[in-house]
Amino acid sequence: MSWTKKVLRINLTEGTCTPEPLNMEWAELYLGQRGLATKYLTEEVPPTTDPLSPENTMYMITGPLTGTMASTAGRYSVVTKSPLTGAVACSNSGGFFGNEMKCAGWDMVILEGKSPTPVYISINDDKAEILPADEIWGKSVWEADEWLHAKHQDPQLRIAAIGVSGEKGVLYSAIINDLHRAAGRSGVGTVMGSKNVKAIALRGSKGVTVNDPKAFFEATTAAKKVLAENAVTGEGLPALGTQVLMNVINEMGAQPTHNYKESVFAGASKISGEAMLEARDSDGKPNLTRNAGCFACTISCGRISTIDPQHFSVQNKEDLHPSYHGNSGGLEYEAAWALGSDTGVDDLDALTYAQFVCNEQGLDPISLGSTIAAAMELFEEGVITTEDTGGIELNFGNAEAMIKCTELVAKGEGFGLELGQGSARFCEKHGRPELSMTVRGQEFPAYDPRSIQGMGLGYATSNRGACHLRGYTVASEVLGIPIKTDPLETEGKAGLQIAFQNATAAFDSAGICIFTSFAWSLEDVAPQLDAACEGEWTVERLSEIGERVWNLERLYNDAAGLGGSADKLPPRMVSEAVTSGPAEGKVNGLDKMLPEYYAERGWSPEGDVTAETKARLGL
Amino acid sequence: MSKKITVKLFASLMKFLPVNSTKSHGFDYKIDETTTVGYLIDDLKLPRNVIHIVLLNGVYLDAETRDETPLNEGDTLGFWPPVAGG
Repeated sequence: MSWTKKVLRINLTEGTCTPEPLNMEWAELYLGQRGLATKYLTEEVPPTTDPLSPENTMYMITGPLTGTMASTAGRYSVVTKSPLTGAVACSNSGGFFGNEMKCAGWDMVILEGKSPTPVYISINDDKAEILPADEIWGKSVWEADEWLHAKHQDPQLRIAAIGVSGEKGVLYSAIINDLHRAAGRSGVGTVMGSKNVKAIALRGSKGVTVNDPKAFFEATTAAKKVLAENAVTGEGLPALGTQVLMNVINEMGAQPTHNYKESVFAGASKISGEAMLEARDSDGKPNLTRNAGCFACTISCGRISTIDPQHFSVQNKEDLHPSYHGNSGGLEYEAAWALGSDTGVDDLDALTYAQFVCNEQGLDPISLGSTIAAAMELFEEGVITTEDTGGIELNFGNAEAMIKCTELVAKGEGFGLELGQGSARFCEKHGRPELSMTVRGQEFPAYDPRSIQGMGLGYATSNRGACHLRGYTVASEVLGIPIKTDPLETEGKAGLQIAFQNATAAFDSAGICIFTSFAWSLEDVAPQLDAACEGEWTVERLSEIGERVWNLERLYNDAAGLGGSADKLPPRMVSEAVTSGPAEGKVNGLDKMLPEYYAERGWSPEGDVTAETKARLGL
Repeated sequence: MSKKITVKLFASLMKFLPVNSTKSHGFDYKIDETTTVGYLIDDLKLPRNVIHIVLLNGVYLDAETRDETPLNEGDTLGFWPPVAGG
């Protein structure tokens, strides 16, 4: 139990919805969510498949704990072959969509083929239909959400949708569920758009059963106590959310600024979590209204905020959705740094507006902000001009320009379509590929790897392209969780990254949020899974699953031509030293860490998974 | 002439900011040759059980040795409770 053991396979070319049993042999080896869907992908989608062709398949999948009373158990993942990177994509989201899928009786919904016309998927317990979406094609996520709720006359319908950007082929389009939760990275929304699917609307009434209810109650209660008593998950995250990081990362000199040219941003405190609490002049209210939680979450790190009604971003825009004049989701740290310090914009309301646009139109704010920042550097160097930008003066620090670019990408219009291809393609097109801060074509997240060495190794080896959520050694190197290590040292970082990567892959396959790992280890997760699922689920077994998942992703990327040869950082990170702050003079020591990483992984010196390692992990 | 440093308090430690703080989340603090981080923590009545990250000019101070760390003119000293995000 805990898995429903049922999969809904939707063939959009044929127009069929077919139930099939979940492959439990694979579930025993890959658990669920990230791991299990990756196994399906590797078996069904050849690594050389064109990501935007009908031959690519998209897996929306829950974990065994999804929908249960375990804390944060509302998670689902979207796994597919990424159009941004060409590598395996796995984007994880919270909200209430995942648990609704499970309550409808499905572990996974598979979208394959391509519909000849725009459609949405309606799932009400066992009943699944492919229905016309002509009326919402060309509309935003929020407009589609309203239309679907009205059409089905069901306020409890849970909806995941793409915006116009996903329809127009912006390569980092997200799938947004519950209005402002995102399966955000690697362009999973673009794949959904390529299949002519606008939305999935879910309603489930079956509930979720666990194997040993009494043991499960005890295990989840004990684990929730750990979260409540931990200073980060019990106090810090509910109070200030992810944005609490802005000042820490900036003060220690790791804040990506001006397309990673600098690592200290003078305006950081103005766009920080602390600033979101300060009363503004116009109406005396702070930016932050309250925190918000996803299904079953006892942390509640989400932000609900308002834009200053006097701010230029919401003035004289008559067609703006009403949410821009009220409470909506954001601002989160990853949006704040990418759209803020990286573009040099220190205007909190401009950033909040841009994040709202990303939610309304389904965009990854990390890739968006990074691409705008790269374009700004090209503009300031004179490589592109206002003739390229459609008249936008694209200088660092120009909030109006950042917002204009965001709006153009969101609607897939004009210069926005070019920015929508991501910074790697944009910089390549303009003859300066070295200015793209990407690995495997995906934009860096919020931590300068010259100032936090382990993160450089993490970006270089991340299977979905540069990412902080695959091996968050910031926890150790900066925040002292679980133990403090020196961020400027390379020694020991290979082992640290591997430990974080493997554990994260296990968390991501279970149906829970990775933020629990600030307080939980696999020692806290194993008893919950053991009570929920049939069989024996130990820490050792989960550790092995994490390692197996990582290696499976790597093998897929190898076969797609994105293995060891792609384990590289942009030249700026390894040859241009930090110019100020505590890390002044530092570059990333990837050359020292990578050989050690390969050896500890049991890979060849070229970064290939060896036959011995494959045999050990049953791959 | 007295020397001074900038003290910054973040997240839940913001409630310990003096009411007349003018700098961003921080304020000036006068020191002399004998002032250490430990003295400053006690002088400002900062809760030791809440302090987790201490950065002196951006460099992390180890919990075991930070109290004895001397302070110099122009330093910036930042304090945080346990925080995380991502």
